[in-house]
Amino acid sequence: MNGRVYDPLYGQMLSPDPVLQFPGFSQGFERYTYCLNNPLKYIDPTGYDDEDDDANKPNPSACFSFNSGGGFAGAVKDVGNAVADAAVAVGNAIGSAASAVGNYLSTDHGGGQSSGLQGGPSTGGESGYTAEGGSTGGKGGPAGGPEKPPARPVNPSDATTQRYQQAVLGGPIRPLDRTQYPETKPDPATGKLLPVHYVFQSETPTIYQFTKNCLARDPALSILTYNGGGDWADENREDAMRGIVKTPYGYSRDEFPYASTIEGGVDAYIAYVPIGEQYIQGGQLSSLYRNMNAGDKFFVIPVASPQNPIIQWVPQPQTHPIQFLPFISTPALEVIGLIFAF
Amino acid sequence: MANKISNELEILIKNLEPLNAPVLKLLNPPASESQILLFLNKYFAGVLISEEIKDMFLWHNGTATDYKNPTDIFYLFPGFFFNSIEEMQNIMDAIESTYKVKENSFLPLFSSGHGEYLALNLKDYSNNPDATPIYYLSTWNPELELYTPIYDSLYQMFNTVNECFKQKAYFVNNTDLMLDKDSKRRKQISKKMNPNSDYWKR
Repeated sequence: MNGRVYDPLYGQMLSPDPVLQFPGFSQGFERYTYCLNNPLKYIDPTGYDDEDDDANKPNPSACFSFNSGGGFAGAVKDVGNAVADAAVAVGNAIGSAASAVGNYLSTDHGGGQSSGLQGGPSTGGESGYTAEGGSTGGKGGPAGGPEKPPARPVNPSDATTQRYQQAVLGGPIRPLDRTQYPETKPDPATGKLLPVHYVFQSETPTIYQFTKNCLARDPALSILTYNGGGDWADENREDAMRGIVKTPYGYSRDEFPYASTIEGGVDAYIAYVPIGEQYIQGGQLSSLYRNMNAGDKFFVIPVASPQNPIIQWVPQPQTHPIQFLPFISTPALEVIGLIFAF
Repeated sequence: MANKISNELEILIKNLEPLNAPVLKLLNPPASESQILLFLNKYFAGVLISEEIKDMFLWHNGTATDYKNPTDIFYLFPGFFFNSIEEMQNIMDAIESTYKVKENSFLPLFSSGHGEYLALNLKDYSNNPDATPIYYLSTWNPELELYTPIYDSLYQMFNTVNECFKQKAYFVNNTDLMLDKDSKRRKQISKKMNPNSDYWKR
């Protein structure tokens, strides 16, 4: 990229876009973003203009047209895309501000500096925990009592894990003193001890960063509810993937909240992560779920690794384009649709 | 092209036509025989080349996918699109360190586009196609191993897919006009037609 300078440490452009893109679209005036903050949809190898045909670029004036081939559904989807783009920008701004304060993610038990991407020391406090809330619309749950799935054992010497560590992390994972990470933690709402799923930066750096980004936006999701897996998990996964563009080779779409939780599903944040990392996390969750039943809650806590600071850039969390409408309610969209229908 | 896999593919297309499935316009032209052999010899040296597999790519060289459109439009049946030879090469190179695809002789014929694949062991398939399962390769599901048998054979996979269309377990969603499914019915059909596959036993 000749046109601009990018700092991988901070995941941020250091020089403004030399070309004002899309003056009719508010995101176009944000000169330090990359490709309208939508790297999954556009690329910009030169730094001067993103590569995509104009018809596919966000265009709020076209969002309400019926030319997308999908009738009203298509129009709604276009609105969703445009709003989602804008919302990502707002989310970035909020995230950056929170990072500067350095205490927005009280669930980070890094014990020191958190990653350069987020910046600032974490407090390690627990004020961020709240009772269940946040995401809705996920499928699945204890009703009907799906059978407990067989747990996949976690084997740190697993050949796949070792290959991944060598290829991606450049060597074996540094051993962690897991005794400092208790297996349970009291739920501030009920006082009940809940199991904890730690997302270690040293083991799954991309997933760690993704999780941290998601919790920065939605701290209530630091407590999730296991849905028992099986069909519920499959449906949540499939719902979260609908309407999403292809994932790069070697990566897999990761969801947060997980498909295996009641909070997961169509509203889940998604990002692409290396399949090796996802496999490691799968083993960890499998161990966690072994002692849980559908409906049980657990904490999700990202753990920074100051002694092994792998700074990992991940795409900002994205959500399903139809569902991510923070500024326009569904009834409002229906009214808009009716207006255009007549 | 006259074998039972080809016949199932023809039935599949007939199932998709009345639904106006977007993929019908997105299937690539056939690959050339030399292109197929070059690929198979590069990644599966010494493995007997199955005529049925070769015929699949002589039918269509997979799907013309891109990074602009939702993967749903590429799906030949809900959840998966047919990989082109080029796409398979990219996939095999990218997932080798996790799945050891060469060692396992995995041919990832279908992709979800989100990190899940349907693959068969080409070596086993060449020797005994009816007893070679289709594996579901994924890392997202904590319940599953890296690869889990999902269909009892390639033929049985297409047979199951066609049965799902026939029984309306697969259909077009009126909201977005994409292929969709009735998960419960799909599972019932798939479990019955693939009694040896662990995926449906969960």
